[in-house]
Amino acid sequence: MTMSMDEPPMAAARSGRKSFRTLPDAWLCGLFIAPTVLILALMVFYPFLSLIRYSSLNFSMMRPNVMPVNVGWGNYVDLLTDKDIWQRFVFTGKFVLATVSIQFVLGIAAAYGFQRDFKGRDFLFTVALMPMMFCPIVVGFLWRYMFNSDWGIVNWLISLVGVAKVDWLGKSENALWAVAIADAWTWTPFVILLATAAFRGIPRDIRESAQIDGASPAFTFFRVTLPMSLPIITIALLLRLIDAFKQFDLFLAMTAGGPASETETAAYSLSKIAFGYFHTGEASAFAIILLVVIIGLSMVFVRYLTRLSNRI
Amino acid sequence: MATVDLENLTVRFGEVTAVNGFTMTLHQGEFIVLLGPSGCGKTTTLRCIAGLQQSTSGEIRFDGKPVTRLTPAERNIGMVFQFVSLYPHLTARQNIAFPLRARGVPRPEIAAKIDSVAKVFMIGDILDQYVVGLPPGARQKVSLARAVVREPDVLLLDEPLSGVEEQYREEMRWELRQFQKELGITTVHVTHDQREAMSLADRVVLMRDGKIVQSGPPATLFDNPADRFAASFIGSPSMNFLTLKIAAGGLGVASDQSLGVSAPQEAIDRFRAQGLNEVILGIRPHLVELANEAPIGQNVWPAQLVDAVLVGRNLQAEFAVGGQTIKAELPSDAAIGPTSVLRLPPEHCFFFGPDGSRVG
Repeated sequence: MTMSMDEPPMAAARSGRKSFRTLPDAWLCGLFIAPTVLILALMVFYPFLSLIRYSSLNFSMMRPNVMPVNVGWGNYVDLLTDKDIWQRFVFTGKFVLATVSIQFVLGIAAAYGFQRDFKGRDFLFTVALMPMMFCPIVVGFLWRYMFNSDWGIVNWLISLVGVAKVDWLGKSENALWAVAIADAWTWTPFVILLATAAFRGIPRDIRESAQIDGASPAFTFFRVTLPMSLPIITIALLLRLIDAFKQFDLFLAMTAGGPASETETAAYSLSKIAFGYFHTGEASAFAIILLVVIIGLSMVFVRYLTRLSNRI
Repeated sequence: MATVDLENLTVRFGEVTAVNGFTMTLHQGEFIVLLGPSGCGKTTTLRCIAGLQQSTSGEIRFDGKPVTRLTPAERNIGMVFQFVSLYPHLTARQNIAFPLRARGVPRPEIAAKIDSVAKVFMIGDILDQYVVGLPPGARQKVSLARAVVREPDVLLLDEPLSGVEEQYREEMRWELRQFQKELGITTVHVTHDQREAMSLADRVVLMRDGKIVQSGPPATLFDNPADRFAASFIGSPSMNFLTLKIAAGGLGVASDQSLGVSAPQEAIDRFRAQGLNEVILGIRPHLVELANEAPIGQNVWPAQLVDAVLVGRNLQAEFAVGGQTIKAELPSDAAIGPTSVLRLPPEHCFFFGPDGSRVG
């Protein structure tokens, strides 16, 4: 083997087949990345591009033999001018607001409680995280039974304090809260988990400084603990908002969208269009609208997070 | 501003005794430095004064009032931690205002107090910056400002300069001492850096294994160490130690009895009476003299040069004498050769027993 003087010394130490050694770096890099790009293309880009394609067609997957007609923006126009769809979005918004508020108030309060050292804390913490591990459809049926207006435990409990029975799942405004409670029951643990992690990440010196500065527990919590945990809590909030926005299983199990279509969320509507009526083209357009909403929401959060992390 | 009494303070963590019967009075306005190697109990002592650590036994009093069972908030103290403990989501101004707002001080009063501490610490121009972007030195000044803005009885500093770069540390030390004298607050400063301790303190308290080894003005600790540990811990480069043998004819270097050591006869008699047959001689490197002209004799020995380095305007040389090492700090123009003659002035020699206790 010959070696010129200007070659870096590492070149002499290289071993392997000559064909690989002579390959330019850029080619080698490309070769290493290729499998990932291929998998991404098959698993992500293809479905996504076909979704966009379907959204412009008048197409039903139940009639694959019927030649689809290109309708351009037609599906989008139909959807966005449909008054019912807007009601679905309004309902979804109310649901998201209700469940996420419950999750964060309870989750942060519980995480605050878990900061203290008490007997059985670790056991209680594990138990508190369990609801998150249940299958959503199971959670849905569980709560549907508990909210049963005749023999559910919720009505029995409130009858003990003398409150009249409530028709939890038969009226849309009650059902909204019932499902929100079930959803919050499942996902509050997630908030507890992340908030606990955030609180534990605050250095001991800072907590002790606050003590020495004479800050009361409430003052410390609202002026130090919470603001310093904001980046993690914001990420938790984004994840919970997106998930709540897509909530489907609980409504399927608890109300099936009823009465009428009053408790249909956007995601529920989408599944009805896609797999009830099999309007595949329209459903694809709907899916893209939902995607845009979620991406828009995420971008707002990402910008806020960037601003936060520039400061902290 | 207060007098602080620590009486028989003891802290145990399970089997380990971190602080063991610590008793001391800190006078009003005094700058005390707790000095010692890591694990000697200095930080635990400080945390007891702060109330962040409950003592196992013993009592703490501020101006005669017992505070042992009070919470940190009830004690009126200011504290600066080793690593920056400023609230990272707040500006310098909001940080300094924090202890005042936590206590519900009215806003105009807060503004006035911040102005006055900002003047003392010369941080007026960075008040509205977020503290995360500030250099470590500026951050520690903000920490100090936050600690003193409430006019605490006692100011506690837990290695506040260890996060500051070496080149600014010297300057910060000097400023810290100025601030302390200007404000007149009783101050307890913890450090493991003996140079920091010597340059800051009115009184250095040297600790080891939870106990006070020696307490006094920096010069006393340097010139009159209580034991071998105090002698070796303070001073840089550290003190030379030579093992000596007590023979019938007097004292000599253990590994070469022909190298005699001068000591008062009463001291040698005392060593014998204590049943010692070996003692350790200690001498600071800067007090070792080059004496090429002098005749060899007691404390004047031939020495082989091992290594020499010019550090600033000093020549730090290492010699071998009878198989043992002596470091000497000599003027840069000292005429050292492969073989030189060293003189150890008897008036600067200390004697320690094999257990480290000072015997002469």
